[in-house]
Amino acid sequence: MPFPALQSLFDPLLPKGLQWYWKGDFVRELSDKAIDAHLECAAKAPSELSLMHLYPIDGAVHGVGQSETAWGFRDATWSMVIAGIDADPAKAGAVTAWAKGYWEAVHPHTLGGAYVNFMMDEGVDRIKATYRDNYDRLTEIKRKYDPHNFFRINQNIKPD
Amino acid sequence: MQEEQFSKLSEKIRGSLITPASGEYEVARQVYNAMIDRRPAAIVRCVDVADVRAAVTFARQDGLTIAIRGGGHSGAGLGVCDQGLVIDLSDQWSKRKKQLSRSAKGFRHQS
Repeated sequence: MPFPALQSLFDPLLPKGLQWYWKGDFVRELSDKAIDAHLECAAKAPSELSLMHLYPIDGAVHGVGQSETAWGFRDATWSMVIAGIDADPAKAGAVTAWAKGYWEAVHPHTLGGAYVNFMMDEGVDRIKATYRDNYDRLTEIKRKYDPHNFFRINQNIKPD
Repeated sequence: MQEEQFSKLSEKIRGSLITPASGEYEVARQVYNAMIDRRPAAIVRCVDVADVRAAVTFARQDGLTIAIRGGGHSGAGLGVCDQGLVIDLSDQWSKRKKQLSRSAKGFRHQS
């Protein structure tokens, strides 16, 4: 399957223009307690489209050291996303509240950081949690190449 | 004043420059996540590297905030900002997708 076909698999189900609120974490193990928390939160989903996905992280990913690339969750086995989704702007608050509550309930059972596009504007602590021990080195690189943080509308690694 | 400045940028690029006065503006500022509702001062649709360079240089000189848009799928809506300049690369991304489709098909035939 060509990459763009894989990359656009969800497009017919989830077209542009829906209300979205994303939260994420990397996960190593799904304990019975974690599964119970998932089931409880899933039962309260505010809309048909709202979802929780666990994307497998396997194989060659685990053969690379934690500090060899910027991404520091080589020990993860899943990338979790919780997404509150609905077409109706009036439900923006409900899908947001559900995603936040779900995340609060399952976060203690995860490794802590998240894929940066499974995140809203959640502040510097979430960015630090995501890059873990690699964060300080990334700060050094940022300081070298973009000391004034010109490129800052992103999941931002600050230069200072 | 800002319109005048943007017209200078417009002269330097091969792509198009969209401001709030453009008919396309309301659609062009939208991103994948409809929860995001931001109004940039302008959107520059880059068609080549020279356009990107011109847009970045312009924003730096004018002290404008920039948001970079690839496919526009950022969850947090980071492909658009209030005020400031959106540097829209979706045209390049479409081209790249076509290239990837071709190369992936070629690979499948060989295997």
